[in-house]
Amino acid sequence: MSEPDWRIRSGGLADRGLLSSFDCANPAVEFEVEVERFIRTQLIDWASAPGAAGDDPRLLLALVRATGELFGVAAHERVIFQGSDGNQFNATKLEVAAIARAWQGCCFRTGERTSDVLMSAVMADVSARVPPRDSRVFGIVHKDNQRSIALCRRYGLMEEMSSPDLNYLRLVTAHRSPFRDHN
Amino acid sequence: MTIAEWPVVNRRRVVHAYKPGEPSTSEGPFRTLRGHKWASSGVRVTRRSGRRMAGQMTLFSSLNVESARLARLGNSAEAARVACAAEELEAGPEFAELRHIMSYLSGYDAQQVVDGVMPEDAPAELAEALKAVARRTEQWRTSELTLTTLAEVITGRIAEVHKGYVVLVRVGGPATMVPRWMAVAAQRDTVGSLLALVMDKLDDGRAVVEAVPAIDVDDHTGTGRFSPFGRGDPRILSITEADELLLAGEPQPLRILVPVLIEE
Repeated sequence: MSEPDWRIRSGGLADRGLLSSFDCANPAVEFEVEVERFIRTQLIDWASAPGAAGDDPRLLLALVRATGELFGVAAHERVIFQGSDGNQFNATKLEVAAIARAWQGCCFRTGERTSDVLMSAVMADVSARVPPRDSRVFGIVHKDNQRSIALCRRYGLMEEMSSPDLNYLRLVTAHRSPFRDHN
Repeated sequence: MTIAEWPVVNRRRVVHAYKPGEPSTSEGPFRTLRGHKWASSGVRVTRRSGRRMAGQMTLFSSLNVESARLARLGNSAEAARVACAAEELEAGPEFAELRHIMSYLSGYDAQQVVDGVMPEDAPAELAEALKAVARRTEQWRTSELTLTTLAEVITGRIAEVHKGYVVLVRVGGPATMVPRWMAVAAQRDTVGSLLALVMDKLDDGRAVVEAVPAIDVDDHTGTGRFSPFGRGDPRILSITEADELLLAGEPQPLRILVPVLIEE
């Protein structure tokens, strides 16, 4: 079986330069610029923050196998939602997922979308973590970012939690209701 | 994150703390407060438009609310001491910077600031100046323990907005419901806004409850804007009861649509 046109690898401190020029935003769209700015200037520090090691932060880089071009960046980490009565819910926060502008809406020769490769990599990575992560994954998306909202839904982030801010949605993977009748 | 009451107030709030229930526009109560030195003189902001004077307004340190409350409770000496502290704050560099920045705002925007609202397109320096004043005020408050027992204050962030009420969530603490009209009056009826509930005891069975705007004195972004990134903003992991119900269910398996191998 031939190798796919892409490869996914975990990122680290040595990738600071690579990320510093990552271009995923239309300069006229503020919520896209916000994502690009975070990737370029903060993501490496986020991933390598000494105090955050216990949260298992993961940085994933999607590259074109033949050229080494970076076409996608994603990151996630373990978090705990704290309920009002002390209830805790383990989850994974999808910190960021972005496709380079030149690769947005593109497919590889074998038909896979670039966005599917990146999101599948995130989900596969979450599933493979040791100790195991909870399969609750959530992301915070700008309410006007329809493409990202659609992609999140495609990967099962269907449920809308309370909004952390008027301009953002908090989407989480679907849950089977604890009150559903199992006949 | 440290959420504190909005650090500047108008005269109406000072009078209201002294005479709850009385028309707060009347001159008498404020004259009494000033006559006994239970209130500071405030800071006069002269607004400018180019080289011309565009108007004047007076704002007060929020410590005046406490001094007025002390005066109402008959603690004259303490009231004078707190008013003196308010006077010192108002004469300090933090207020000077705030006054300077406000002098270039429009009348409407300057009034918004006193009412606890950050005007749209306000310069980042304005947010910083307000936080600097709030930090100095909180430093003084925490060093003066008597103030903490004067009134019960609950500060937090609005997590839910419903038709008749909003849900106020304390940082790392429980939630409480607040009538929506109170949040509207404090101009804090949107998700994410910061609100303080002040319960001012009148006697053993009665209290005046006031919803007032609040500010995050630890927010160093300079904008007060929400960012979905990083680990600093508690809103990212703050959940409501409805969220808890949702999360209590069994998570569905993750979807992997393309087989992917990850190289370490």
